[in-house]
Amino acid sequence: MNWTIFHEQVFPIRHKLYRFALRITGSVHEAEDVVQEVLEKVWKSSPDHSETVQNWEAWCMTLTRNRSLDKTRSQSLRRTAPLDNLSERRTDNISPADAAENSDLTENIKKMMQQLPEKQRLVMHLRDIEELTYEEVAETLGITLDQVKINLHRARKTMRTMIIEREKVIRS
Amino acid sequence: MFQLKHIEALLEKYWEGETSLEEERLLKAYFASGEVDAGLRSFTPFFQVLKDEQAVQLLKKPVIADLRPQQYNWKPWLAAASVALLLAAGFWWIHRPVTIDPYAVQPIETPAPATQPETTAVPETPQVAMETPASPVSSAKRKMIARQKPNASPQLNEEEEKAMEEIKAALALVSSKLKKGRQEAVKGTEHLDNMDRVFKKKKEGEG
Repeated sequence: MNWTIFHEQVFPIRHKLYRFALRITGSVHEAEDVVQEVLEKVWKSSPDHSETVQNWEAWCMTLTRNRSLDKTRSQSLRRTAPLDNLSERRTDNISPADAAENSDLTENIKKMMQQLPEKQRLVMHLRDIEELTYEEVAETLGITLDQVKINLHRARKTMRTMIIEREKVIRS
Repeated sequence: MFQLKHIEALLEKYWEGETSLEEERLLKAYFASGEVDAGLRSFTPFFQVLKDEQAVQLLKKPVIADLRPQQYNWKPWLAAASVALLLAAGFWWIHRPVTIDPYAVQPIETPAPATQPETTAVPETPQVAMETPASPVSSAKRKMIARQKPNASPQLNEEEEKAMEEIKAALALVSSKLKKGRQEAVKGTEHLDNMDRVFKKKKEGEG
């Protein structure tokens, strides 16, 4: 591919790709490997294919998602858990004293986010952390706009419920 | 700075997934401001996490050695440029302007060997003489031109015809002068031979 495009449009988003890979794999080393592989794949892509790409960021994010999911699935490292029992399980395991610590709270919230169902987790990451538009999220994940909104709504609602329940536990 | 009611309304919109990116940035700024209302403080760690996650960076640099720009292959271009240069040079050589050397155009008829004595002191003057005038035309070109017959080209225009006629006349004059000179030279040689004989006889007589 073109060296200028690579350096101006692809290489600068490596941190974004890394965060996305980290969100999916949950492993620093795997996320680093994913970014390396994605960058190599983009760099080695044929000029013909490069000409068809209109949004490099969306394409790289899609590659990152696919590669990360492949890695996660192949190594059985899925960290998602069913949402039904999540809040109960989390609140049961955390003592009020620990929860009072702000650092612990943020760590717990990170874990909560990581335990969201895959689609909700990725939609929330792309929207709330990477600040993509709904259209960009849909393009990156290969889903419809409605699915983006539904998954985002569910993810936020789950987070809100968990935060409120945690607050109740701390106060009690 | 931040109106609590506005923030609360925005937060409700946020949980429903109906906020714009601008509104979401405003909420993040509010929860990062340190002036969060007590009733909303429980959500601060959540927005703090979003902010922290945005700052996460890839610490391990991708292996740039494998990502360097591919070495540009100049060889095909170099070969093509060489061929183009050769073609251009050949084209120029064929179509270059030619200064016609009148001495070279008319091949000089050398006298028949039978009529020319081997012992003659007369050098092959025509060829030697013809080398004398400076000529911008190379010897190879001269040979090529010399091989051409004077009227070989049917494409000569009037001016060229006229020039050719003048050249022929000039060459004929030169040729006749040379012929005369050659005859004179032969006579001179015969005279020298006679003189030589006389000297020999004289020497024999004295001896």
